[in-house]
Amino acid sequence: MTECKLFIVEIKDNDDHDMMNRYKEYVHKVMQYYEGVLRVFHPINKKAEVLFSILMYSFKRIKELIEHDLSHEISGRSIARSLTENLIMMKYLVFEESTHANIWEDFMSYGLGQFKLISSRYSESASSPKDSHVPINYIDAILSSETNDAFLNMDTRYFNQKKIRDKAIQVGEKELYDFYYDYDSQFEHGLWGAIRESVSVVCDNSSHRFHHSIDVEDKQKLTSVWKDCEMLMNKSIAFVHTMFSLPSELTKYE
Amino acid sequence: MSNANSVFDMNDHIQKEYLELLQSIKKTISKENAELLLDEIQIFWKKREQKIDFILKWLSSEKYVISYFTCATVLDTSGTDYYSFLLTGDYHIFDDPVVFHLGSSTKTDGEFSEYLLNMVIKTIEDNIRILTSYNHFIWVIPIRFLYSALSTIDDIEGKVDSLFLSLFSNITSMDEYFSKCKSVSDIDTNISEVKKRMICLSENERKDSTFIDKMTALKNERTIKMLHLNNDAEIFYFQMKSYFLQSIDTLFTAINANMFPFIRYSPSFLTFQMVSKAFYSSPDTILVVSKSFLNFALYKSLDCENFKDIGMEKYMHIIIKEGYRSELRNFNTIDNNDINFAGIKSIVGRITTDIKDKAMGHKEKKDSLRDLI
Repeated sequence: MTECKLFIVEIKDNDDHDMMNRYKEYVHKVMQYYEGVLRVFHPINKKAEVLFSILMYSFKRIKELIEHDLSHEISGRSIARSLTENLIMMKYLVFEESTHANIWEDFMSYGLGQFKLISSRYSESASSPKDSHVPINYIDAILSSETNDAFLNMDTRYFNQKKIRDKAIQVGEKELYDFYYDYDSQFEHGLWGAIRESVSVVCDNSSHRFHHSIDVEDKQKLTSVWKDCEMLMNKSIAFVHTMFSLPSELTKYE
Repeated sequence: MSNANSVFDMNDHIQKEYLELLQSIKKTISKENAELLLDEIQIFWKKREQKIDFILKWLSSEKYVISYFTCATVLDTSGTDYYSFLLTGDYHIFDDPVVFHLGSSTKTDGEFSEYLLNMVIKTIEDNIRILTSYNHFIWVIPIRFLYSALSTIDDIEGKVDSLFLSLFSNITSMDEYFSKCKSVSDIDTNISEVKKRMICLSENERKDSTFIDKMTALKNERTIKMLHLNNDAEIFYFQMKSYFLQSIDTLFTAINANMFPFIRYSPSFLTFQMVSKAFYSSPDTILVVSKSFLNFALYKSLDCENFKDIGMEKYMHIIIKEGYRSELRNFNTIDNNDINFAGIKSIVGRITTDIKDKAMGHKEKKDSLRDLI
């Protein structure tokens, strides 16, 4: 039998890596500024804390993308999805702020409530995994350092992940959902579309009747998420800037 | 959605808080409670030290774009003298001296306290005027109080004595100075001829004043008389030591705060210039001295009375819109460690004429000053 001839779609790496590193420095400076604003001017302002922290989470993700060269990898799509979701969530929280008292505290409580559920599973189960990546002792320490006991009983409708499409529509970012989030979710959840694009490759040998194989040597790269991630990060910064104004030198990159 | 919480908003908030504090202090200050109230001002600024540091750090990424008006009791906005202060730099701060009066009060008798109280009130009133009417382009912040680097300099007393001894050609120690010099003529005999001409002891000295004339004028100053020093040698040492300390403090404070000083008082500036030469090995020193020399030259050469009819608003529009600040930012006043007097004379002359010409044909602009700054 003749050998398989895997059809690998060629994806060129056109990313400007120097520019990506300069961009990382730029966002780092933005975050240094916001860290100072939070520490020096608004240490107990929950809105500032939540918005700057979400922005920082997005920065950490884009930093991973740059430092570990993930823009053509599956992880890159996961990062792009995370950036989209963070932006929609920030806009949603601000949108709801006027009608939802304590939305910032509730957002924090929702996340901690999820942690509490995980913690309970570990403590209640006799067969909880050992040496897992879940730092259960640290999670418990975080939970016991929080004084808000209400987070277990709170209304979770506002922050439920399933409602992300509704949130996107509500804050005028439906296109982000339609054109990016849904696609990236395929990769996050390992659905067949994503598997087909990244792992399952066609054999180009005509005598093999175009069967599929798996890209065991990791030859099949994906198109770069860099430009979209940069756009999403810029949109996120610009949004926070409308409430916590950046110095003019940080309002645009280059 | 409009942008908010900028560094300017943060600073405006602090300036407003300070205005409220000064207004309440002005209503109640007396000889009896002055120390307590000045202490309150110190605490006010100490509590906001990190905030000021943050604001100034993020105003600009460029070095030395803030000009601060220092070594003065008041800025005095009643005339046009301070117009030249606004010509250089992108941002302008009046180095609030109120807190320094607290230190002075501990070493004075009753009479001086009355004098000091009047000084404090004068400064507070001047601050209130700036904070009320000029707050869009001049901020009041006690720069020396927050950024003084004097305590970080090793053996400051020794350095000051060395600078003092460098005024003499044949005296090598302080003991020798105090044993050889008692009267003004003793000092006159021992001091170097070059230094005699360079030294400036009070504001209104003429260029052709002799050293003895300068000392006579100094001895007649009220603050000197109040000190009851033993002889002329002590007076001269006290005065020069004050100027040297102030100059070293100004130089290192400026570098520490990333600003350049506007010094109006001639004795302070001329000593500052003399002292700074000892530190020319640092590029920051050269930059600070260069910019401060330009400030002083503009102050001395620019006849701001010419702009009296233009008014402050129009004057500010002209100097910002016509790019004088940008031009002056790049002007090198020090070339190969020498001051470029000819260049300064030329640029100051041209700018004076230009501003007057522009003012004649200037129409009201729509932009607010805040937008321009």
